[in-house]
Amino acid sequence: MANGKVIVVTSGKGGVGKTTTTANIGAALANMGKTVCVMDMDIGLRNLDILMGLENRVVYNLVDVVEGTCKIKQALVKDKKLPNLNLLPAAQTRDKTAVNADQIKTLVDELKTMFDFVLVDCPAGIESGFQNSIAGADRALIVVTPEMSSVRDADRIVGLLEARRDQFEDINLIVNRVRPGLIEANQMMSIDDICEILSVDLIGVIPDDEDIVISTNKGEPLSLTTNKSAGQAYRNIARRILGEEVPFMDLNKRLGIFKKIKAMFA
Amino acid sequence: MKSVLKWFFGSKSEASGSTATNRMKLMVIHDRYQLPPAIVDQMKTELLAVASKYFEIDPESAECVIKSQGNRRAFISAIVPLLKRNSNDTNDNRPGQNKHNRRTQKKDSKNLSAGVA
Repeated sequence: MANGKVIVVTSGKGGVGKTTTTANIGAALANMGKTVCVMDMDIGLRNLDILMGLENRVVYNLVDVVEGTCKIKQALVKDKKLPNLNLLPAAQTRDKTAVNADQIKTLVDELKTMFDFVLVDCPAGIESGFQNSIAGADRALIVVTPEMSSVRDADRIVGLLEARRDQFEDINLIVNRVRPGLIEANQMMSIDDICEILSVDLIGVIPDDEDIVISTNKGEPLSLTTNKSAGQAYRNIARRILGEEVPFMDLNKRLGIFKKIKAMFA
Repeated sequence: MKSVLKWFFGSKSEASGSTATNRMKLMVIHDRYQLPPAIVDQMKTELLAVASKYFEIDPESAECVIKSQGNRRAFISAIVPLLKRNSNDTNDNRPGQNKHNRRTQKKDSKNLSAGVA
């Protein structure tokens, strides 16, 4: 019987990469031999199934489990490649009011006994969907992009999580869609600035990577298929979650080649 | 190298990254403390009023800002240039005080603070 950890992936703002992050870290942890359940809490607007490439295999969903229509095991969808990676899909025809925080707490407590890690993909916003998603969480990953609107919304999330600090072993920050060239040219907030503003410990920096678009189209998380850039960054986060000390990638490496070519023409 | 990059990425707007950071720092403080900007102005007016009870001040170059001190906390930084001691203050301008020895001066400062309170 596993004694798992529940990790909520949240952000406040929509469209910053919560679902992509959940899928990639979940896949990376599973690839490292852990039993993992990724759980879509975006009831009514589910997408995690698409990113995992499992949309055609969904039969039951989280609301069915909560309402007792089916058993947890019936609702879980096994990944195509990794048998120890499972998806608990959200309902697509219901809304956030279909479940409450107590029900979700009970559900994740049950999942904890079945898996090493339960990754909860939180919906955007700070309303009931968010409150339900954090209900049973032991850790939180806050995804932020280096944009003012994202940082501001993340700050609200940090405030709300800090108010329940005793519940969380760790609250960590993932800075997503980083463009090293723009930071170098001081046209984008730096990672350090974002960490300082939010006062949260950094656990990962994901470079902006067009391969993410391709991997979403294929339904294969990037952290399983590539050794470069974003895929590597997600794998590093998974290792840090497992307690490994992993140095942060030098995002300026690629920039280095760029610089050199540019310098030739200068 | 930086100039190469500057050229490459274009120098349309200068250092918008720093602009964003500075705007962001102020914005999160106002969000966290639920602080409308008007309150800071009101506080500045009141702080200046208190200072001008005891000093002639230079309100033009006075400054009152809220700054971040990390750990999600902020502090008020008020800089009020003092021109001279206010002559309306009854505890002030007693001739000959300066010639007293340290002990009596201490005594006087006690009286002064009592007067202020």
